[in-house]
Amino acid sequence: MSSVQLISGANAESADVAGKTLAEVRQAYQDVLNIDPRAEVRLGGKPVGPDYVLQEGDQVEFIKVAGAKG
Amino acid sequence: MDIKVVGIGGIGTWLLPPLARFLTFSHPDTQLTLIDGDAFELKNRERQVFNTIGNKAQVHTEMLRDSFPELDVQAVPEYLTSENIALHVSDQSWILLCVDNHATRKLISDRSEELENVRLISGGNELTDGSVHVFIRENGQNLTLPLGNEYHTEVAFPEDRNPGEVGCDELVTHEPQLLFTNFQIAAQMLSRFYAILTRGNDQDEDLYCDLITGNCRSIRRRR
Repeated sequence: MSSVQLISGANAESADVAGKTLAEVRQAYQDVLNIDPRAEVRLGGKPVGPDYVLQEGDQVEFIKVAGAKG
Repeated sequence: MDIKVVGIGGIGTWLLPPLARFLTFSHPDTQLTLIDGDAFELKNRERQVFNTIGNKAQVHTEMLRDSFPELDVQAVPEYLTSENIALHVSDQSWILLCVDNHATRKLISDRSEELENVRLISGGNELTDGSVHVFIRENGQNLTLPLGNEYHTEVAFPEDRNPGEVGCDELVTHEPQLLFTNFQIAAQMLSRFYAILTRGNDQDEDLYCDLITGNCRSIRRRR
C-alpha cells in the first residue's frame, strides 16, 4: 500500500491506505484524527463518497465543521 | 481602528484583556466596542472572567476602562439582530466574533458582504477543539470566503438560533465547554488579528486547533 494524505481539522497524517475504501479509512482513523461524524469528505476539493477507493498521492480532507460555541 | 468584539463569553472574556493591552500601547487611537445582550451569572465563573453580575458588555467595558483608561471603550448591551446589525457593523470595521451560535455568524457575515472594507475574525469551539475563520473584504471584493460557504454549510444554513431573535418560549441549549479550549481559540483569534495587521489581507480562511493532539493547522479554501 502507498501513501495518502489524510486531513481532519487540525490533524493530518500520511498513511499507507491506497487500495482501501474511504469508509474503511474513515472508521480506522476516526479516533486518531478526531474525525467528526458529520464531516463531509473532499478529494482535491471535490466531494467524494464512502465507496471511493483511495489511490497513491490522494489528499483527502474530512471537512470539520466550524466550532459553534464560545 | 474601529474594532467590535461581539460576544463576551467563554472566548470573548479571554480575548479582551490582551487585545486591550496591545491596543493601548500600539494603537491607542482605536475605538473598541463590546457588544453582547447577555448578562453574567454566577454559573459562568467556571469559564468566564468578570468581577460583578451584570450585562456582559457593560461589565467588561468598565473593567477595561479601569485597566486601560487611555483606550476608548464603549458598550452595546444588545444582541446583534437583523434589526440593529446595520447600526453596529459598518464599513472599515474589524469584527472579532466570539458568539456561541452560527445564526449570528451568518448574520454578521452577510452584513459584512454588503460593506466595502471589513475584516471579520470568527472563533468557535467544541469541547476540546475549535476553529477560527477569517472573512476579509477589500474595496468591495471578497478576498476570502464568507463564513457560510460550501465548506461550512453549518454556517450558511444554521440550525441554531440567534439569541436576540429566540422567542420567550424557546430555550437555547448549552453543552459542556472547557476553559482551556476557549482560551486557545481566543489566542488564535488574536494571532489572526495580528497577522492581518502586520502582513495584510492575504490570509487563509480556516484555522483549526485540537487541544488533545496539540495540533493547529490553517487551510486556504479559495482557489
